[in-house]
Amino acid sequence: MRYFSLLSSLFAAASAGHAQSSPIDNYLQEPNVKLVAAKAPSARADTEIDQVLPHRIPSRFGDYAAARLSVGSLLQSVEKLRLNKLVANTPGPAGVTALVSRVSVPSILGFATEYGGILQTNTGNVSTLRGNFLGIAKMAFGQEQFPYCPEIDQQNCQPASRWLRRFSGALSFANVSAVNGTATASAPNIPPTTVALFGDDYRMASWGLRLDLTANDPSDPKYVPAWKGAIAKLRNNEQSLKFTEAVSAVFDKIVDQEMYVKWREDTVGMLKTATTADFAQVLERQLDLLITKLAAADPEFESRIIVLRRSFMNYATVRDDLLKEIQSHRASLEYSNQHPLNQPNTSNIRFIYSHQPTRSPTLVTANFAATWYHQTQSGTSTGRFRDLQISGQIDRRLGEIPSLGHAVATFAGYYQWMKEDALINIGPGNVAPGSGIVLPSGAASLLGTKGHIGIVQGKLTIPINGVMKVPISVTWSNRTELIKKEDLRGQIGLAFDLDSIFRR
Amino acid sequence: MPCQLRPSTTSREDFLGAIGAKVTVKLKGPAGKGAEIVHIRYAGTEIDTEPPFEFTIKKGAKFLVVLAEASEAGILLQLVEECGGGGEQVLDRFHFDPMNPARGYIIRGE
Repeated sequence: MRYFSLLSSLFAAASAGHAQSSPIDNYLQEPNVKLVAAKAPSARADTEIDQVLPHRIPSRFGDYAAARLSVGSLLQSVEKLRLNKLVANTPGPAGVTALVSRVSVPSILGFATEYGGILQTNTGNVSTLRGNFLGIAKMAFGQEQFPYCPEIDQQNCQPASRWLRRFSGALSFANVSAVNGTATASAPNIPPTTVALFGDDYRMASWGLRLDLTANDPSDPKYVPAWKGAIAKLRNNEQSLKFTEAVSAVFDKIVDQEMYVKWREDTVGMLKTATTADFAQVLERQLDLLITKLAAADPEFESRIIVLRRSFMNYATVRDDLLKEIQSHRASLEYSNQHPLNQPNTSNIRFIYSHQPTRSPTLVTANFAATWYHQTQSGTSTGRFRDLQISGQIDRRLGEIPSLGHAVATFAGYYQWMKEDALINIGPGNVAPGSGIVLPSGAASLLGTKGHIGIVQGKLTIPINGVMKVPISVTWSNRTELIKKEDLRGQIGLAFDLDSIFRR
Repeated sequence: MPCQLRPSTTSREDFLGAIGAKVTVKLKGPAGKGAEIVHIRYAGTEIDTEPPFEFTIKKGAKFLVVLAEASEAGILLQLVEECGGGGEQVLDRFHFDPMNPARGYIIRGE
């Protein structure tokens, strides 16, 4: 509940902040416009006033025009060519093919369905919804409430946007009705006894929050060379071309119109003589006049503005993703509240660190995590602390598959120390492990499973298109949490990244 | 080779140039900072995504979009025309705004 209170505060703060801003304030935030507006009338050169004109700063004009035309909020985001984006669930619950949490998540919404389990043998079908809070807030409340916050200029963002962009959340559902399996529980020196673990239901498996801890550091000597590499990727990205195409679509027809020439002449003249106190008001009046004329002259003007804003946000999201990628050191903190089927609820705190050692497309990720039970279990001597986890992963982007994208090869290792034996809840009518005793409802059963778990995994992720990816993996473990024997399995999954749909 | 663009003295355009003349532009920033043109788009469809960034002036008022990025917000950038023989002409001087990376210029070919 504390987390929801925090979110509510952020949303409220953003709303309050928005109430004090206006479209013209946003336009005046453009650094060159701000400089001109602050100058005395006699000190403003014509070339300086040109910096204020809509065709010179098309994105700012697009925002202003959209606000004046009451254009609805636009949904944007994008992720491509990223090694460090997690669209599947945090390692832990059944049905997850990832051994290691990565540092970043989709900006709007990620959805993944994976088949197979790693830590438990009770195979499940887990669907995960994961989103960045700023993206979700923009989707829900509009861009005016939660304006874009550039990766390289976070200090000048609204506090709510700056903080929300660092938080993401995840909600996972287990489709247990689709699978009706059983798992075998074993205890030392006791013959294994089958225990029915599955109900016939569709249920929440976990929820979680994540906080990104790191940002770009322009003072790092490695930053500028890495930044140039990111810009080189941006050149080849279709979103950058779509962005300038949208800018041209708005202005190509305008720039040769007598109406715009006359408006420009009048506006430059007025702004040249406007006092610093009147500058914003004069500019606002002239911009409103221009928008009225443009909207009247071109029935497509409003839709062009919508496309301009959307294409800019798509471009900006790609740019920010690329800039996040070049952070050679990245860290996140993640909390997940897990509700495993027929086991006591647990909480997990996880520190995630990633490092891109060179400019090559390789990413090293490490996780350190601890898990504890929400409460001590009656009838057992098990304490609340459950386990420690350490894991590492290396991702290497492979060559491009024509028309599909880049495949990614992954090698991961995982170690878990179970301080206590694992607990499971046994419903009414179930038999206690190693006995013929029918247990009452809600009883917890101790399994002789404390000790060390080691897992290694090789995975190949093949893109199908911009939205779907197919992870294929082979996993070996010395044992699982519930079964003390070696396990080797192959897994295939299907992951969806809905950001790619929303950005269209 | 002389510079191809001439600053306009009217409100009809930002620069004037001869039809058919090839113009090369580049972005300059402070020492130690990154400043790059991502691509340029001239007259709607003429696109150059690799340096040197060039376009050929067409008849009439056409719109040039320069998509530029810098490694830090707010740093002072200069869009310059390369005029040959090492000569340069500053076309625009501006502080980088990550909220507005595309900048537009009206160029009239005559």
